[in-house]
Amino acid sequence: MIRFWIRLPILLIVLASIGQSQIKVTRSDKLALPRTHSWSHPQFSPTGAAVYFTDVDGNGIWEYSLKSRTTKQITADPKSGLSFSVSSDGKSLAYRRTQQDQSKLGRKQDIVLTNLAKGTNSILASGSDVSIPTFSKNTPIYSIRTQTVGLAKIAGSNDVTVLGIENMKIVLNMNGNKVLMDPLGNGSYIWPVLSPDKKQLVAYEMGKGTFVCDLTGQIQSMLGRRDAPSWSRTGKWIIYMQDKDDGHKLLSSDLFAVSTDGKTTVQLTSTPSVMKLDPHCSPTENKIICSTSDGGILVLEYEERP
Amino acid sequence: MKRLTALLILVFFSTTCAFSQRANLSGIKICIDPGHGGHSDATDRHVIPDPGTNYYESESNFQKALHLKALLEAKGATVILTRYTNDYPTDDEPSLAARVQTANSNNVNWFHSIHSNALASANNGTNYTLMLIREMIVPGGDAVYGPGTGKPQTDSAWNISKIIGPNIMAKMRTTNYIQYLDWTFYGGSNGGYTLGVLRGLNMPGELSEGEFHDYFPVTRRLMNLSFCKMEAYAIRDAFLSFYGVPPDSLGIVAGIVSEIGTGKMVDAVQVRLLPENIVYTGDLYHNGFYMFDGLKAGTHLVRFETPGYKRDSVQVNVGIGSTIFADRAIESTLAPVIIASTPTNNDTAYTADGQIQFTFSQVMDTASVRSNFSITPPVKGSLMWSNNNTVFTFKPDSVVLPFYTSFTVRIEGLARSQSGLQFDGNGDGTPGDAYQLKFKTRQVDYPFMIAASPSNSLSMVASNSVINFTFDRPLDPSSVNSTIIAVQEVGTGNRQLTFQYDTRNNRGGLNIFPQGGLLPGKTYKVRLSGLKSVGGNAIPSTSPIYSFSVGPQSYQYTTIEDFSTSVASWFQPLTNGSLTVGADSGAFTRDTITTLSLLPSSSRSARLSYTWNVTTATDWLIREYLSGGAGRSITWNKRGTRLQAYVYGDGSGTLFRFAVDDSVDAFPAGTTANHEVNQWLPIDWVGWRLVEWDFDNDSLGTWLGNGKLEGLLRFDSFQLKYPAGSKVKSGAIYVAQLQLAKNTATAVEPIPGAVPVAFELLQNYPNPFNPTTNIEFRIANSGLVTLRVFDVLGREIGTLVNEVRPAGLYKVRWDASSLPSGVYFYQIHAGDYVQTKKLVLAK
Repeated sequence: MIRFWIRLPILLIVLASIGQSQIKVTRSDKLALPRTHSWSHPQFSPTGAAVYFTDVDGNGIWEYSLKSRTTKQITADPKSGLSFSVSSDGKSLAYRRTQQDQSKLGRKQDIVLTNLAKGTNSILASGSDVSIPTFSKNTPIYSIRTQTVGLAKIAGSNDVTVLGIENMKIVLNMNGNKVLMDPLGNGSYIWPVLSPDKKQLVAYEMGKGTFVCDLTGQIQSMLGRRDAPSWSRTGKWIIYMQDKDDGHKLLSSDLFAVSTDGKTTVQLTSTPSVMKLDPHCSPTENKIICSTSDGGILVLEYEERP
Repeated sequence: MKRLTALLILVFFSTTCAFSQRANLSGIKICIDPGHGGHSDATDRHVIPDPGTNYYESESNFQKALHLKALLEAKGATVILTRYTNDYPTDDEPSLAARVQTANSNNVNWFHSIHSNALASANNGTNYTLMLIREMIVPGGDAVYGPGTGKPQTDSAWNISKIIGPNIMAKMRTTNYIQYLDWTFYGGSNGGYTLGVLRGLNMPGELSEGEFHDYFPVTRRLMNLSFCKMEAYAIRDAFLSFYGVPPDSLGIVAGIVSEIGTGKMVDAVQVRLLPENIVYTGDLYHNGFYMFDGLKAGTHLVRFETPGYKRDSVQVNVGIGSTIFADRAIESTLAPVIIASTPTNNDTAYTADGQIQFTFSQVMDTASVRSNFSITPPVKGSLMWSNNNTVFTFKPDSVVLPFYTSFTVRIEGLARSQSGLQFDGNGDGTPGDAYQLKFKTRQVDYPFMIAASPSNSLSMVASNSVINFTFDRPLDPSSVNSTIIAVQEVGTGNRQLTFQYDTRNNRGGLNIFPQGGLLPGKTYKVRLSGLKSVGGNAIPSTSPIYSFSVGPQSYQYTTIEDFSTSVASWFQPLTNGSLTVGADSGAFTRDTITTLSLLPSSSRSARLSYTWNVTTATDWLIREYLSGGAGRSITWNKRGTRLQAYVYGDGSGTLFRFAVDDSVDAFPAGTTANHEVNQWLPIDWVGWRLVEWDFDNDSLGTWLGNGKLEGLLRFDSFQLKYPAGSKVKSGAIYVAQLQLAKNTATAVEPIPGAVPVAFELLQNYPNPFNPTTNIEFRIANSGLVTLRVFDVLGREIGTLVNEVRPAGLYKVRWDASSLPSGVYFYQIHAGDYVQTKKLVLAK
């Protein structure tokens, strides 16, 4: 049981004043997690009430309740922590586990649906190539190879979700229709994220960097290399990590924000001794969560100026 | 026995083939990561094996990946690359995290990152294959820095690497193969780290360092796409083996074509394979590489048809899926020519001690060259061959050639190559004509003295000076010995001495240390006789060549910094606020090797290294600033005072000066407006030299102050400056014993009376005192006497006496006005006699 947050006194330095930058980090707290693992890839639940994360190699999923400040393990399944989603109501979590085996294709993957309240699991699908599960509202969607299960039009709702990447292209669920997007033409995409209003998409193309487009694939802006982008709650900023490496080793990483038109960039953190990775914005509050190279998880509060 | 054999087969099968037999790789998705990206010198491993050839690891990695993609897809696999270009105009290639994300997002079965290796220093032949696998880190450890557990994160990555590594070794013909877990490999307890591209993978993955791209023969081959494809074959075959797919039945014939004799790789090699009748045309990167792939098993004829070389062929038997190497040395059909000479033709100032050397394009018949060689005017000498009879050297019997003489060297057209081809002396393509080299030796030359300290004929030299002579080029070290140096103290005779010789920046520096040091009021004459240049040219001696006189004054010394413990009180030269400009790098470090033997054994030096930015900078200054410590609290009045330091010069011509803070009594914290400096001094010497700022007599230089010394002074910094246009862009000097020398006319005062029969150090009076006190001592025998003052921490505060004194009673008056109140100790050394007493300064 973890009952306290650890306040980091001067962990983060705000480099730009709010008058100039329009966004700044105002507070930083490190989740008081046990040092039993090196934690990574944290993300907020859709309700913002909890944080889910995994260990550095993606084995297992843990939940940290922001209300009770307690941690519990959801699953220890291998590679589940790099491949999960939470339903809109925050009651269900679906993940993909991957086990290497001696089968013809060398591995077995299962889609597992977990009832977070009851702690019960059910296997939705199995195979050697199943997708990371997502949710449309509270209905799980997943693919076995390229055959997608769970797509349905929701009456009276403009339902758009990112299903993931399929053969390097972005896959969307648009009102029950599976749509493959290739906005830059012959692209290889990663990190697609919908804007809070679900009218825009930010993603990274391996040759051309990060870009913002609308849902027809019309490019709105090219942002250059901005890794692991995540929309701020208002959708005016894209939070990302500026990670630097020498081709072998990660050398540094800090968090930055860039306006969606790419014209303004603000450095949010500057702590060379602690690399900050994989930021994820809360959908309900002005908070960013990220992991650190030394295995911790930080929650940053930020202010946006209108 | 049968059971054992069966068990061994089972073990081999389980480690090399994890899966049951299958027809192809259908259904397997593999992500191939060509390491690095773009053409950044810093991160993409730029190597220049030959002028005009620019190799980047990012490019060969990419070419290997493209080949591997095609080969794997041909076997049914789905292949995704992390990058589809090597052109990143802003050097924004995908990060390590993005590469991992590509593999994860596409849910591939396997990840493989392609790299090549390099040494941190010059590579003269290291070329092995290295496989790296992610190491499981200790729970709660750092994702980047570990520590590791010594276990692979996935066993299957470890196992496939045991196939990939040997495969690459075999195809790329590296010397051996090794396999490591990443954290363990990258230093372990010495700061190991994990590979970023293997962190957070959702599938097994590994990284191959196929070969060493900084070993130039390999660098040149990596410029060849077919050579890169060989590595792709090696990795593909490993995947086939690991997934239980039958090996490819088609084979490969490859090889390296070199020239007989010279061993040089043949450019634009043309090799024909029969019966297929296909021709491989090589590149121009000096690798001689060729390769035929997709070959059916059976007998093939490899025919070497490169124009300018004799045709040759070899028959090879290609087994199913095998790789055959058929290297060949082929013989040139072109007439041999001389491709380089020393000296060059028409050199009019060739050094007389240089050698005469020719490099032929082919292996030569030595007898025919010897019989067709001549030098005019005749010089007796011997002819030597090297580099497999391609390099020919004429060595005169005398140490040097005659000076200021014009020579003509000829090799007649009857000379021939080992294979009988007639020599083409003038290189016009028609054999049979002579080669002719004309050159002229320089006038008699020997090293010239370019710097001397103290200067010749100088009077009033400080008694703590060291003697330094610096020559414009290195001396023959064997000619520098005690027999060629004489230091005469006028009125006394020759002094015993030691010396020290060093070369820096192609200059030779000689320090001479008379035993017991220089004495006040004495005149010295120095004679150097018998020094030689490296080439053996004698340096004329004069008698004497040199003299100077030491001033009669005695000085009281106050140490500002002796570097005996650390340089913690000093800024590093490029520290923010140091006011340094125009320097790419610099460092100030304590040194225990380059020390001045005249100083107490506890004394050390500090090394100030520098590299100037001569590309974009227009102004240059390094300020080596004393920011704290005891020396920072020492202040003084300019009258009768000199600021001194021993500086070990690098002969670079870099400029040196001191800076002080002026009027620190009015501005205790100091202001930049009160920074004053002395004149720049070019560091044209090699070795130790006493550098001084005589505040009474020396003019000031220009920096931030007003050019006047108006109040109480305090040490600020040493400063260096790049003299614009200098060829020396980097170097290092050493500094020792930064101190003040205050002229004390009554410093050592003999007291009339009987000659003492014993040594004795008397208690100072008055005591306590403010600010002056008297110290008396008795000396029973003539000899060197030192009297030093130390603080309670044992740091030397000043040297009151350091000179040879006859027996008698002496009194020293010590002025401690620049020191804070406190307890101090004074200690005398006279022969074997040592005594210490305490004194109290009460202000």
